[in-house]
Amino acid sequence: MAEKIYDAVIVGAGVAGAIVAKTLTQAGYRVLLLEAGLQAGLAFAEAKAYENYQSYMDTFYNALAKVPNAPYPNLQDAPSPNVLDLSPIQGTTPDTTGYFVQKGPLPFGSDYARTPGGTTLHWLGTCLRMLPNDFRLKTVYGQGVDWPISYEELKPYYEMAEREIGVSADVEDQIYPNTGKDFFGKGYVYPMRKIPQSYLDQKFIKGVRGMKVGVKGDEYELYVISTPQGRNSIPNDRYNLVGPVWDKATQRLVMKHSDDAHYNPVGAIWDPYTGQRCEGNANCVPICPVQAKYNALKTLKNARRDRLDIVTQAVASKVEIDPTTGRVTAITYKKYQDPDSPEYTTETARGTIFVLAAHSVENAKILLASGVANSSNQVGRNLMDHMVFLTWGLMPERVYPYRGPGSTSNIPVFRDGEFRERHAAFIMPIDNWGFGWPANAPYSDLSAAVNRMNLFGKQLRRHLNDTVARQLLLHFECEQLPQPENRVMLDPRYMDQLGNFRPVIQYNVSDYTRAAMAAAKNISDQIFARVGIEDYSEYNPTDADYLIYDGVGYTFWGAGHLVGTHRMGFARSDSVVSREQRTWDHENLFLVGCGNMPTIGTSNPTLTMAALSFWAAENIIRELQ
Amino acid sequence: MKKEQYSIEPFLDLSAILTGFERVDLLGTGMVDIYYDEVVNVVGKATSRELWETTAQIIERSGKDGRKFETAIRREILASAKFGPIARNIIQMWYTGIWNELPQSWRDLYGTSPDDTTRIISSEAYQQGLVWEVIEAHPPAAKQPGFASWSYRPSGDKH
Amino acid sequence: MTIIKPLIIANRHRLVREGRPRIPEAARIKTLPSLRRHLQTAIELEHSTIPPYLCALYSIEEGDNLPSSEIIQSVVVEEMLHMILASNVLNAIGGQPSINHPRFIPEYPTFLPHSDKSFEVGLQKFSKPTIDTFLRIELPAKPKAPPEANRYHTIGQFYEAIEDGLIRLSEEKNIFTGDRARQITTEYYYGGGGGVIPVHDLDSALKALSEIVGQGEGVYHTIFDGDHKLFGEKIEYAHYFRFNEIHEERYYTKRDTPKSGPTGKRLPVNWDGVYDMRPNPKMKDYPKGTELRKKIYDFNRIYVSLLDDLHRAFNGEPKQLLNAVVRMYDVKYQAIELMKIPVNEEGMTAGPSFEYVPPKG
Repeated sequence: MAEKIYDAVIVGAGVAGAIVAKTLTQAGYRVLLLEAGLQAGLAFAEAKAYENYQSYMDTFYNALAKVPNAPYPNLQDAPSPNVLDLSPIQGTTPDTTGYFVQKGPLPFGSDYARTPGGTTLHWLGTCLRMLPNDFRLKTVYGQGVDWPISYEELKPYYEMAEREIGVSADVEDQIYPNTGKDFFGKGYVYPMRKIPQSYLDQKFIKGVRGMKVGVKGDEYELYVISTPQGRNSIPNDRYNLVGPVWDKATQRLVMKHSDDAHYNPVGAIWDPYTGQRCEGNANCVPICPVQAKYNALKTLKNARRDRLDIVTQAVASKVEIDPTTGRVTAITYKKYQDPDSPEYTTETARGTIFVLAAHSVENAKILLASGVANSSNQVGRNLMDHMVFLTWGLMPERVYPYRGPGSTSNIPVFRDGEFRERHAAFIMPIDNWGFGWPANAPYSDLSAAVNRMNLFGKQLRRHLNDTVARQLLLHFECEQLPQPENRVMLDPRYMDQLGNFRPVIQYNVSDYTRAAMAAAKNISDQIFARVGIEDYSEYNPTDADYLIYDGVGYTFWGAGHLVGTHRMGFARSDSVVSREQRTWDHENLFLVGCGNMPTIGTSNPTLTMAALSFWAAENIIRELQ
Repeated sequence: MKKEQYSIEPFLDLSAILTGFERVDLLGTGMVDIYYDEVVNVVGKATSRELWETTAQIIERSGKDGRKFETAIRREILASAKFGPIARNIIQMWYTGIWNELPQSWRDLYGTSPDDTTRIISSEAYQQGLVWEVIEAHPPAAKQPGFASWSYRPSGDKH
Repeated sequence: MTIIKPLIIANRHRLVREGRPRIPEAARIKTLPSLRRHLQTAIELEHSTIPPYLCALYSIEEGDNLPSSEIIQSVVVEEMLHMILASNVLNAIGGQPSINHPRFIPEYPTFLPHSDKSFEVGLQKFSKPTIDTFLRIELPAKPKAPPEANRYHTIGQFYEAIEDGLIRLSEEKNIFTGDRARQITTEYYYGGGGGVIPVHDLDSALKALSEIVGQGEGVYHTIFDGDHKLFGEKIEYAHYFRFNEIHEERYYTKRDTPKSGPTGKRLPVNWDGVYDMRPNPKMKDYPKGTELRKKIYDFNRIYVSLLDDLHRAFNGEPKQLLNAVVRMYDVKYQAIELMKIPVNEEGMTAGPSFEYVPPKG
């Protein structure tokens, strides 16, 4: 296999790699896909696929801490970061507890999954497009950088991504600040109708209807919209797009209109009839039991298998370059049999085009380890995430949380506005899962009721029903700007057992984002006062990501949105890839994934990354022609 | 119910009064035998037998309903240094499927078992956790209520 | 010779008979009210199989007998589809499906509504004799068995009589005068084979009936002696054949014919991985005021609310199907709880009784 020369060699079977693999194989090209995770995770035959996924389920059920990576195998030969490894960093000593070597000053709080299907196995599924101003932050607000791609250019690729992922939303609900009337193309509808908003959302919406909040003397009217989500709902019978297909005449990927196009919700990989609708498992993170939520395995299943070879348990370690031409000649990978054993064999993969789709941190790691694509000295830099600032309290009446998808509504008011000159934008999702995230509810409530309040029996039931059923959690996902000193580095002192580097992360949060948290708390206080919510929010210096702004302490959590480590740009001097998603330094090396995004905006990045993956696939096909 | 009736009955009665669920609801989880074994295994045959006997005596004295029964359970079991921590664990076990390691002070006095560790008893135990029903939800990733269910008020059919 | 043609619905292929049914004069449905009554019976008939199938399905211990569970589950989902399709046809010809009346649920064990009373159907746990009964329910018509409107031997004969009635009556005048807003449309059905067909003319009505019979019994006249190639990747087997796979503990292969029976790989069945539900449970088995009696009552109340939701859905409020689906999940969890409750020394358990109880007022 190693000697076979493929049209394209892709590293990583997550959503970015899967989209490129599917698009290229369907256009007729032969693709080799390297995946670090276990072979079992790529079973597509019904019984095997079911059996493997049930093993994830079983691990999940038996895990005491049901964190995002809980269901998935943590491989010593391809380790994943885990949020359980987080704690405040003491002084200048790096925290080496987990896979990440955390140099701080703040620990980087997000994880990802190195397993077939990647982090889409435990993503929440929120699928908001980025806003036009997110692509020109520097020009409009003097902050961060502009993208070399505009929203208008990316729009058709968003449509491809929305079909591939299977997004449920009603266009008429999607009203964002400063977007104008042409945000969606004329007549566009999402493949499926919106996911019904939760009972809790409806109560909350009633509470804030018509409310104006003041922030530093400016007034904003709040409104709540339903959130587009990558999970199955009722198909929209007005949806009439198929594709994308490669159009030779225009040399582009295009979606075709067809009156017979029925969108059929894509079910579980083991049974097309399972998961055709979200069944309300209330467990999107860490694992959807019925795969009603999109994951990248669905895309891979629909790649042309006769043109796709997949090698699993293959950890890419080096990009080989021909020093005279600068072209990539091969990718070297370490193939292991037993994920716990340090034994491996070294293999090479050869092809015409090479695509790194291993995740923003892993892509950066491979590039840095190979000493390639880094003439700009930007590889690994500009690491960004959303700072998830949470506020929580008890609603005046029961709203019955812990039901439905993690979040079905959001307040988009602060996603864009002149305030971005002064502080970060943020989106405000309304959460459906009570105090689970910040306070380990309802376990903590139960423990307190039984062990401290000495309740039992019917009284215990009444108390829990009375309190837990009123829990409300608000999110504020704050934008972080690209900063070169927030970065992934390598250090030969920190290696995994296969002899690959562990990511060394240096990370902090600037005042621009801290100020957004202060604004968020201020807004939250006004909302809580208006609705009559009893505030339970609490931020402690013992929290892993605790910070001070203007003398006040705030805690934030990682969003799992790792962005920016090999950004695209206008020039080779300050970016790693061009707008084609091709490295400036090596003409046959493409990068895909959130690492290419120059800024993060206020959208969960997967949809945009998926759109960019189609964009990249188009450029690769053009190159291969 | 294949266990010795003598033991299972007081365990079931004790579980019902502690959790606030009917016996029939506890039986409906299919977990009675498993949880009974769990308690006996961790705290030992002698201590568990004593607990069942105490429960049986309370029931004989005060019946199974009403304030009198509750008061006796509180005074003689929950307030007991020996039985209190076990009883609180029984509640949490039914509610979450988790066995919690008993307090060190209890272990010092009444002994330790290698199985006395904090853990989820089994996949099934997690999925039968009652706390979710108490809050009118369902265990995340189990007993899913179907498309759009979350947009309605819970049915209250069981309450 | 019967001609077989593929029926393609939502990308799934199914084989059905082509051509017009031949019905003897005496067995014909001759008036519109009679046709409506027969369609109401069709709905009751499709429903009457659901509680027995559900009992068998929910008696299987969680995680055991996955292939059998999947098969029974797929059949149940399709029986619900058949109720929808029969209601669509009835609504299309100006009828009003009645789902929530006290006699809608048969008292088990029961003969199938309108049948020739050759066998009874009860509420039983998953077992070989239970699957035998299911095979008889889904038995295709024997060769040359004429369609019969009243005392039919198979469900297929009954539907042929309806089909014949639809064709003959619409030759006289337009009978498709029902309000289109009462049709259940495609978006509400998922999770199983086939699809909803909104009915507004003879063509769509016949398609809907083909879908019912095609899924239910498979190709007419071919079951025992046919050498048709009925099995293959893209073809959905009729219910009879799916149950037969459980019965024979073996899958069909592409080369199999009805005559050959299934010769593929083993379908593992663990007849012991089952709750030992006492057959045909009834509320009256337990004294009034007992917790268990109340629990079975609660189950029935939920089941009746489900029928209520369906009644509303089939009578002008299609959106009520969303509620009905939520209720179905609840029915499942309540039934499984009952299956785990021991009721006697032998370890037999309680079960869902599917009895009508008046709505809570």
